[in-house]
Amino acid sequence: MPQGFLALILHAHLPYVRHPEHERFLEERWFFEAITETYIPILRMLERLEDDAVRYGLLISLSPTLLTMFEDGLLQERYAAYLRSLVRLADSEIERTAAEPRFNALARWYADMFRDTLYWYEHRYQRCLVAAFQRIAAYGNLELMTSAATHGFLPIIKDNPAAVRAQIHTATEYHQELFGVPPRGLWVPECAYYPGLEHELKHAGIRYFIVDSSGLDHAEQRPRLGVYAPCYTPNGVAIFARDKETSYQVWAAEVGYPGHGDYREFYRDIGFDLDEDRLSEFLINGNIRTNTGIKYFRITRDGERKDIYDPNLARERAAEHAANFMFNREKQVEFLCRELEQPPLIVSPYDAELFGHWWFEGPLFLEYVLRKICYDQQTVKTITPSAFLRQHPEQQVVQPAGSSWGKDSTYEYWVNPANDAILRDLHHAAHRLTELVTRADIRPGLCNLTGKSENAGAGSTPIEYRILQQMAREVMLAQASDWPFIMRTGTSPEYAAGRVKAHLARFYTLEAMLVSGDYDMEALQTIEYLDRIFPNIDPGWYTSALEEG
Amino acid sequence: MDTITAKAPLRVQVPAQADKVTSMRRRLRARYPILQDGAILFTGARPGISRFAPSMIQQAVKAVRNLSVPPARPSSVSAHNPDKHAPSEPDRRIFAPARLRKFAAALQEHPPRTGCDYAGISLLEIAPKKLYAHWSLPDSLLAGLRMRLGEAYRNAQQTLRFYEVTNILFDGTNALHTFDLDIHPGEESRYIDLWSTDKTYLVELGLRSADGRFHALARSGHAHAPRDSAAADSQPQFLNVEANRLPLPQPATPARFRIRVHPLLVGENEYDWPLRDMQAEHLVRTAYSAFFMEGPRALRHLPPVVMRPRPILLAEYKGREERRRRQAKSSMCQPAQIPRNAPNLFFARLDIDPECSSHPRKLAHPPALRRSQPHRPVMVSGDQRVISSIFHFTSKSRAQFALPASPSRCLALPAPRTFPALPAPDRSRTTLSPGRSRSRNILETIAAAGLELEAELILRGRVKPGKKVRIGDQVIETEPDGSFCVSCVVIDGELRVPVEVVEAEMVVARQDFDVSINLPN
Repeated sequence: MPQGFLALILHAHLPYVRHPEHERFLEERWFFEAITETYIPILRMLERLEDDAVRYGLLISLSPTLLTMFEDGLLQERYAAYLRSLVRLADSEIERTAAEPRFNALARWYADMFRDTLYWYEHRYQRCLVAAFQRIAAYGNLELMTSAATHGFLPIIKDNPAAVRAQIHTATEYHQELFGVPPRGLWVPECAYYPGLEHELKHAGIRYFIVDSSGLDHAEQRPRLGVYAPCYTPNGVAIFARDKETSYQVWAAEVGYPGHGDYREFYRDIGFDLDEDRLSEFLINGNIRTNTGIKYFRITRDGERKDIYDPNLARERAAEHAANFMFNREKQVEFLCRELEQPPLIVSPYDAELFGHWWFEGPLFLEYVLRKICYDQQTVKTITPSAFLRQHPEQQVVQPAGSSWGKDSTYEYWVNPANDAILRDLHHAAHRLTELVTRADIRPGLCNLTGKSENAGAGSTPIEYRILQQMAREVMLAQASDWPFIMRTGTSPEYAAGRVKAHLARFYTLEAMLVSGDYDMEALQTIEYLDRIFPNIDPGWYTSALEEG
Repeated sequence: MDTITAKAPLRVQVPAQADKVTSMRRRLRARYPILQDGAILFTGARPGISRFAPSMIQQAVKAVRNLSVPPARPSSVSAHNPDKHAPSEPDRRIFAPARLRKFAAALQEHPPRTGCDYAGISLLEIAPKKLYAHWSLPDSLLAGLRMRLGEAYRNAQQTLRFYEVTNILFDGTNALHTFDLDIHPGEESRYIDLWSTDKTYLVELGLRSADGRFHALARSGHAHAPRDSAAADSQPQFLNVEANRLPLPQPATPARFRIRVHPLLVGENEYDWPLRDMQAEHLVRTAYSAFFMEGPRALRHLPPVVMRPRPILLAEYKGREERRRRQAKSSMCQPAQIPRNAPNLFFARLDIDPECSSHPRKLAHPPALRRSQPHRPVMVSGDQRVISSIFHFTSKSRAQFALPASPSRCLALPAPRTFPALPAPDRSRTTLSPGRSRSRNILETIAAAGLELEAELILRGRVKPGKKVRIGDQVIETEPDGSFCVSCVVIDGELRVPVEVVEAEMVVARQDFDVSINLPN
């Protein structure tokens, strides 16, 4: 009987970065790199665990935008081509480094790895990563949950409840469409909770969500067990709060595991080190360098010259860190057991992309953690939030405080002078869509195809419905929390601002089309092709009739 | 074409000509969403092919059958006919990257308006002591207002008036506290620092005249600045959500196949239909090419199934449990300490990483299986089922297999070729990976052995006790309560599986399952 539980949660999300208007596009590489370094390694890790009958509990949140991109034929094709070019690049590296045995061995290692990944993607998964996650989830150890449709930062659109509702219901419906079952949990984007959100979640059938620790710490009623047990909101939706200690151990830049000198250095990539003529396939627009995924150096200690990466050494270090992580959890649970009346639950959510993309050895670390917790001790047990609630359905009721997992648990990272210019436009667009949908008398789950196109107040024609669907896609895409985040970090603010502007421009183009009745089918088709997300999106969720009702 | 696609939620394609509203269609619309392509989405069913409520299939079939098909549309359409805008086939020309780039750039360069023509304000708490307000007040609207409100407001100051409304129902007059902030012309947003936390505010955008009168133009929603410290101790309240005790629904199987259900051919009264709860529960894809190229590991990616345990599966399930206890604890690099003759092991994977390929894979001999009484369904993966039902492992090498132990015993139904509609196996569709020439020999070996098994269809249903079920030419044994569960092996291509209920040598009901299995490209 374990004394306590550990809920490991991976949140997998990327913004919608499909750009059919370009043959190659820098931001699509985000997606490709994440598949190569994070999603496929995690899938393979999970399959190894299932293969060895390891008992574990893991929750993965797959954001709807990510799922859409997994399913997109164009991106699948482009990713396969990208992987093939990686194989070619690694092969050329084997030739180039022939005179340097250590580099050469590493080049061969990369070539094998890319070939392996290509084989898994093309033949094993048949390009369908959604089905791969689905199959593993069917074993019962892995639980999948969803997030808001386009990862919208919900507090900034809360003034329009229909916009929040649309984000949540579109996500749950899309999850059900792909996985065949409705999600029980929803990853609130950026853990950004505001009082009242639980009503929309419950309406969508969500049973639990995750908040930052301050969401419970600063709740209106003091939680009896702190963040070490879930609580219920007054309407019965469960809240799990993040444990800061485990986050710190993995996330912290200075003392976190990923910063160890034996791990692979993220910032030394041959995409920036080699001559341009060797990277012809990897230059965007012929001159923009980007990461290739072939990195020869390890982090090494400060002040030292970068040493060559050694996969075996890194593997050992990952095992050592996993053992340390497990040991600390045991001690944490033993301590908490003395203080609390019931077995504590430690909730550890992480960005999935940390494991593999930023921290190359992350999936190995995770695998070691799950194996060790299963076999090497009996104090802690990994568990999913659903399984915990199944065992402990009675919990304290609190009203959590507004919070996010940003700096100081506030919303300031997503609302600040660097990005607040978009808020008004987002607000207006969502408001306008609500107005149009309400006027057309479209309700959720019902396409009112009465054919009375001349009377916009009494329904909508198929073409009007289609335009409203696309308008909903554009609004949602503009609402993604990624854009204000990127504007704030300053990594590629022009791209983020451009995306918001582009989606709103498409939105208002469609709006003009709808209002005037002058339908430009070619323009509509083009916009639909440019932003092909959520094929069966239901614009009915934007109606304000539900509030009035 | 009445098509039921085995992808959840249940989706029924309605004939395009049936677009005119019939009473049935109206009723359907009232309950189910209609998709972009005109299909009806039956969301009421428990989704997933293994989870279809049989009544849903019947309901879907019945619903579609009952749609009356109106006359075809006239070829010419009137000016107001919305169908003139019906989507055409995607035109590759308009999706060319160059054209898309030009289109997107044109929209960016000349964006339509993004403002609004009404006064509005929004308030958001962004930290315990910080609010953010943004508003919209078009100049034209403001000028008109100043004119209408008269001389007193001609030079009135634009103002934000904040109301603290913590724990009250605000009626416009009962705020706990108010304060004003003047705003400059052209200003559209403002950050507001607060002096205390855990308060609820709302704000009005308006004009304040020189004599202090305030004319509100817009009011925001509530914003609650959260507390920044723990609340005082209070008597905790608890809630027990019993619904959380329910087990998680299992994800549906990915649909890479279609099953078309034909309307009932026999059985006059559908409510007393002798064949009930009939469903194609699962289809297991067995990619044999991958199997023989990669060894048994390849098949573990097949969709898992929940099925009634058979002794062979139960034994293996127990074997996994036993193996788990014995296996090396947590290191992937350490070979597992499993005795060569360990019981209940079909195979054991000892290493799981390409780097560790020096460790041999050991395939143990199949044990003498003990017959156990199954008590509950056991979830096993499709690969285990196929492996356990067909092969005995005789070698440590992953690529060497004995011939099937006894095909006639292993297969629940006669070989697929007994179905009249079964196409001949198409070996040209078997794909080989480059650089794996050994697999070709294995395939040839298997072909010589006459193996044609590619996929397995599990049919589960129930008849009235005492009646017989016949599938193809074979009579299926039913349980005392009339239920049955059989599997039949099928290969790629189109196949019709006729299921008949027989009473006194008479067919009293029949349902056909058209199965279309295609290898993914």
